[in-house]
Amino acid sequence: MSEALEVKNLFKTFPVGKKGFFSKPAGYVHAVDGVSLSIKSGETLGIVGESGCGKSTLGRVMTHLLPATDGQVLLNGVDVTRAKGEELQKLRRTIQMIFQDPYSSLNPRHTVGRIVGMPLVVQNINPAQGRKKRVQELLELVGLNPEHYNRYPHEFSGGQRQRIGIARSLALEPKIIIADEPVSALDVSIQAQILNLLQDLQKQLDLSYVFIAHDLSVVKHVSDRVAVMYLGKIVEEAGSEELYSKPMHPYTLALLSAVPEPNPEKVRQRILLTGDVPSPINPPSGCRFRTRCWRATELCATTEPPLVQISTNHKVACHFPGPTPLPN
Amino acid sequence: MSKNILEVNNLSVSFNTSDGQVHAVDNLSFNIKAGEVLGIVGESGSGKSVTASAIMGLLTSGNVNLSGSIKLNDFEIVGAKDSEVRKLRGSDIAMVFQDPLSSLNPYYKIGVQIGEAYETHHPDASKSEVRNKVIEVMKKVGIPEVERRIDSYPHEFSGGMRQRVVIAIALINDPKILIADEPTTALDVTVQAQILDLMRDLQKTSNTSIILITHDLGVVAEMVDRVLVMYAGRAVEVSDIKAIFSAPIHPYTKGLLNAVRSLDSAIREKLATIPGTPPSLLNIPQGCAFNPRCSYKQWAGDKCLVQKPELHEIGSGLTACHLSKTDIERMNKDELPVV
Amino acid sequence: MARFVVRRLAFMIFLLAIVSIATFLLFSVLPVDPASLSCGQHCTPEKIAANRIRLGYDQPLINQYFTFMKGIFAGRSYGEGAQAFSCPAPSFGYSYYRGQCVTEMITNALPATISLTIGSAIIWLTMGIGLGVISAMNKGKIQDRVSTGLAIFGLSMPTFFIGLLLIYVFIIWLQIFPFPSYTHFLDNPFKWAQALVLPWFTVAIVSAALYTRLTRDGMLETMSEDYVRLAIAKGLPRRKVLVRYVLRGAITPIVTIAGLDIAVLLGGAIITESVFGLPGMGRLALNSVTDSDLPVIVGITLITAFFVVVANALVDILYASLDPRVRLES
Repeated sequence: MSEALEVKNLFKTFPVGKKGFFSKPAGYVHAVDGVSLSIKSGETLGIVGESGCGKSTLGRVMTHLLPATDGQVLLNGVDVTRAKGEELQKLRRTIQMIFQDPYSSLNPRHTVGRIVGMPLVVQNINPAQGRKKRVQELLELVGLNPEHYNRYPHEFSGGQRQRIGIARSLALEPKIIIADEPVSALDVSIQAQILNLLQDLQKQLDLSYVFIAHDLSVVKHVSDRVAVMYLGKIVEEAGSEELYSKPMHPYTLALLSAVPEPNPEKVRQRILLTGDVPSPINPPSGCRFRTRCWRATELCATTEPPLVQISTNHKVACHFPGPTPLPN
Repeated sequence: MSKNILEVNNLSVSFNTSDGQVHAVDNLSFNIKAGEVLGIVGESGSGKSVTASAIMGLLTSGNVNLSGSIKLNDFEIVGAKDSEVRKLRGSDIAMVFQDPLSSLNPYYKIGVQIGEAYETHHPDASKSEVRNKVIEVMKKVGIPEVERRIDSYPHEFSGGMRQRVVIAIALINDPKILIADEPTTALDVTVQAQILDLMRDLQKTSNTSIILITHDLGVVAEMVDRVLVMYAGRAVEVSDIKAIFSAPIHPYTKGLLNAVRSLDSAIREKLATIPGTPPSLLNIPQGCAFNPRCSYKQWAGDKCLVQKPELHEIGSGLTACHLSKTDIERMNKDELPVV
Repeated sequence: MARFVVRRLAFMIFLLAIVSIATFLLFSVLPVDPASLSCGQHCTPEKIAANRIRLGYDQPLINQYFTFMKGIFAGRSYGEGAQAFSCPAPSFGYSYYRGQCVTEMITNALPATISLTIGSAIIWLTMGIGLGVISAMNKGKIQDRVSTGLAIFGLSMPTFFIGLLLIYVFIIWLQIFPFPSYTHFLDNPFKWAQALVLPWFTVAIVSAALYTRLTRDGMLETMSEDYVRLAIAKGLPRRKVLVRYVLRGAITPIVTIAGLDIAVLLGGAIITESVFGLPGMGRLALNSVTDSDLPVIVGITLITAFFVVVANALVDILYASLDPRVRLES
């Protein structure tokens, strides 16, 4: 498999607490802080983390919905973050995004046909069979009735709206789709439908996915590889099989043990992390997870652990990596 | 276990809207014993939150039609005067809402907001008495540095801490029943684990009954003794927690269980789905409301299309399904009707 | 909080400087020659030239500006020798047309305008917020429709019409009030109030509508907030929920608008003052415009701008004390 997308040492900061027209901001949110990743074609990379870890920002920088502060996002060797004008327009065809909220991400005043066909209009693409025909094909592809072309979003349920969002993202025949929590706003019985649809489309259209979620159990059902983020950094990255069977970073262990198990008979030793995620404006020194980590020592406060390769398919950023889940 | 603390009988709630009548809850009956944790599981529009509002006596506006009975320790809430029900709210029945970010008034210090709940029901309490009570309950729900944080504003708290504040408000009067409406849905996974842990501990030490309303069967498995599954405003199954996970007795429950994600699944394993979408409450299907999405209806013949199934016993649980006991057993052996 | 206030006040001064420059520039490019206007009926080119020098209009614009600004802080004297006279600080210039210092004219006009503004503000806030609360609590019911109807009626009536209507009904027809003649509050508070009641209501009826609307919508929006639901779930009495939770949430945007409305009104309610013959800022402005009395117009413009800028700063500071979240972000 070839690399479909490569992220190199990416940074994204947001100024906060700007006091007036002329003053400097009081600080910066380090939303994405030196992230490197690669996605092979046809593969799904899951990105997991809690709110404020920078996973959504990362997704938006990758699709150039937000400009990067520093670093590169390489798509077929071209840097998306520096692209402008026509070049950017072309790159946007290759990489598309699916959003979390199927209610606010569709313009309520536009018909479904217009919403799904909009990327074609913006990119000035005229398919041989005509735009309308193409849109109807897309609707059928995502399991919607093509005859609903002239209906409005409010006539559809949450799950159907998410299908409309997916159809729109497929309009330009992208190779890569960034899906930001695509099912977390949906009813349980619908979540499974959408997850399965995404899997089917991947096979059919040879897509690569970046699947962003806060929940390790969803990611397990869709990902070939998983990266765990904490406060703007990747703390562990591994093939799914490896990550779920041999998690090494204490944060990954904690995330795994926090997933509620639909099995009342199962008695589990749960790792209860204390406190909340610290502010990304002033992240802790050294290892960012140390304030909530039961393995932390002096070393963790002074030295930041680099993300190192521990086996062919496994990277971890921890001074004391290990699979033993129990706090001593 | 002891006697029923809350009894809901034939509760029906509908709303008059410009689009027609919305039947939010239809002929719902259940009860809860002292110290019991009951899970009400359902998707959006299943009527679970409306049921909670009815128990809190909050459905008083003109466009609501309410019938049936809700008895809290022999006090009838349906039809009672608002001034009477108000005495129960926040004292005997307390509630925790889904979103801790919006549940607290941004304009007042959290100590004031917690104390208010106590003062309302103890009008004679002195200022220092209220403050001591607030400090006590804040400590109980695990808020650190109470003496300092009592004078903080909500925006100075994280999501998890705010939910602890909301729980403190609910617990300050030692309620008999705590209704928690999706208390962890808006929280991060690690914080969700903390809050569930806290609720379990509090429940054990105080013997408060809890009604946990959620769509997440994972949360249910960790918390509750008994589950009430709702679909389109009706109870479709009531079973003990272990029974429901080992052998559900309604096809909808079965479908929900299959669709639940688990860390036990294989990598990239496909999930079983329930086809279709939950019905609009303006237009609930004839017969069994679940029939358009049910994979087993052929076993019961045409009955499902014309006759509303009533709740009846199968084994240790209750189900509202036309399938016979043997058909349910076949369903749990993963057999499917031949179409 | 203190830092926030200081910063806000500094910004206010900066803004005032900008406004004064803009006003000054604007009036300097008008095709009106103040020197010839101040010259009277028997005018000769020599007289005009002399006036121009006496008034300082011969100086470059920038000098004129600084002389003007200096006058505000240190007072200003005009002419030489026996004809010399001065306007003490704060001096906004001299009206040759009236033969009076502008500051004096404004100070004479202000009490009537301030009386009108404060009185009517109290009435329109009570009326507007009150009707808004009634509307919100009875959404969709008859009370709501009546309140909204009244508000729209007030809003759609021109000020002069309401003024004349009130004069006709209460003075000419029912003869409850004598025809108004403004008396200073300190001279006779009763007569003062008597003269002002009708103007107060005239302004209030027109202004209240917006507040009814804002209160109603703000309250309805706040009512659906989770924290209001939680307040009800706590068992708080309805009235307490309404005041401490719902109204509190709806009041903040009202403070902003009220502050600015009051400031603008302090610059003169031209129509109301004219209809009721009140010797206030509005009438002064109107007369100055008809007379092309430039120094007075400049003075009034600056004073009005000053009120608006100050009100803006006060609103911001008030906002910060009303909403704890604003304090943090500063």
